Amino acid sequence: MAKILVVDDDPDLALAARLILQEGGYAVVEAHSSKEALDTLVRENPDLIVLDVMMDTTTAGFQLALTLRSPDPDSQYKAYQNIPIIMLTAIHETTNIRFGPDEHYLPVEAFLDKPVEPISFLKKVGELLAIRAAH
Amino acid sequence: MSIEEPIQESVEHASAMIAALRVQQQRLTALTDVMRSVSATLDTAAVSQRLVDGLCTVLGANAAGLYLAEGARLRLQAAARAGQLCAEPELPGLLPDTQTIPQVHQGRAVLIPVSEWQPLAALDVTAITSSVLLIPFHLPPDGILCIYLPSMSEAEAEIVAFARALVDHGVVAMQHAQAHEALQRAEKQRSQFVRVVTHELRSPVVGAQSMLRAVMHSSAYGFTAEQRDILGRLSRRMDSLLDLINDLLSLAATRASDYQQPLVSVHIQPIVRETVEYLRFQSEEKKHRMEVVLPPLPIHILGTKDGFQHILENLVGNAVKYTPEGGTIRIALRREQHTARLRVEDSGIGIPPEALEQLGQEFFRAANAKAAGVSGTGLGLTMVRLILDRFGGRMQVESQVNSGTTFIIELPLA
Repeated sequence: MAKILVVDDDPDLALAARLILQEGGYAVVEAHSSKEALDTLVRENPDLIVLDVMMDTTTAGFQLALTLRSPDPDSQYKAYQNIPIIMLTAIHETTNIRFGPDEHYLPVEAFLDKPVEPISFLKKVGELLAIRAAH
Repeated sequence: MSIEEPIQESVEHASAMIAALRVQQQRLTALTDVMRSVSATLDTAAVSQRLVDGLCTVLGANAAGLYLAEGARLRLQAAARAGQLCAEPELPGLLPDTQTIPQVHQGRAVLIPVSEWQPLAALDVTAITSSVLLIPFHLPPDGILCIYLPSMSEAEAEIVAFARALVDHGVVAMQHAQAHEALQRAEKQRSQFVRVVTHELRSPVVGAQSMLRAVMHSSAYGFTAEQRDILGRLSRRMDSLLDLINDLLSLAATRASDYQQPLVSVHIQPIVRETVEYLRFQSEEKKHRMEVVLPPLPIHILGTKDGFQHILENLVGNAVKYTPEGGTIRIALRREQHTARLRVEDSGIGIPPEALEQLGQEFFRAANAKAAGVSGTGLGLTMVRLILDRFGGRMQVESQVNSGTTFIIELPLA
């Protein structure tokens, strides 16, 4: 059973994501801050990460993604660099960072608008896990 | 006594009068120039600077400085030197407040010999200055204009009256600028307030909607058909609420000047493609035929990427929303001589003639749009209009009920 790490500081949103993913037949671990996310990542070694943009700060999710995908060869998260990331955003969120996958700027595989729509969410998760399994 | 003498005298008299009139004429021209320049800006710093520059030039002064009250002192706001702008004011930065100069405190202008003017000691214009003209400047905050004149010989009353006329005009220009700046501050605060409030409104609705969708999607609860129907209604209500909050947030952001990006050259074909792609899913669900015609040569408008995208999302989004299943949507972009012309045509429910006029008013929705049960907030076109105003663009709408609507947008090229 594929294991998914859900990172969201809003427990209601984390719960919603967990319910949908469990319904889809995945094992779910939750983390509610960037710090907790990094600890859980190392402990659980998930197959996919679902990441909220705004946590302790408006861009905490972005920073976490950048830490995980750091090109630094000595990065302590090097082993986890290839775990696919789905980023949950609110398109109208009050931050001036532009949203949209940009491999040079923000290395994540997909963006989904909140509140997530269960069917398209599970579809995206399935796709990314299939790509990962094929590699 | 020869007959020439009175004539000679008259000629001299006439010449003197003409010379005096010329001086007056020059002064009036200078006065109008300064007034025009001072009134041409709504920026308080620029008004102060133009006023002191103007005074310096028109009065042939060595230097001029505008001081405004700050606590018990008067602080230099703007300074000018003869013949050049004063980048670093060489006038004293602070003066004692107006109460120490009784005439000025009583609202009168006063011309005093330089020897009596204490703060001048530090100035490099001391040697060439013989008198200092002090004119009260009544705003809130109150202030004083100090004008350093090279000679005392000129008709005193005349120059004082002349300078006062200029300064009075400067006060009015300053009041306008202050009012304008206060308005801008208020607008910015209002927008920020709306943004914060909307964000706080969004979070709980997003949380509730996320959980609701998760529960509805889950097979674990075994809902009855009626329960499922109620949950569906709840969820749709929440979608409408979120739409409203999102639109309010966008509107506030569009209006907030601190969020306004500078206008730049924007290549628009990729934005049209992206937006159509973004909305294609909804359009395909309704089995629309969507045609997009883009010219091969790049078109650049003067605007912002976000703004143009917003216009498109609204117009194409509306076309998708208000066009029944199986309808047609045509999007065409064309380059005209000075503008880019975007046409969004649909075969939708149309807009009644009486509603066309009100289109774009905040929260306005046409009766048939509401009756069709299509959700909407009536803020989309308000935003489109705001953005178009900023880009210097125009919008035209043609519509026929039950047969379709065409929006034509013209935007100045970069």
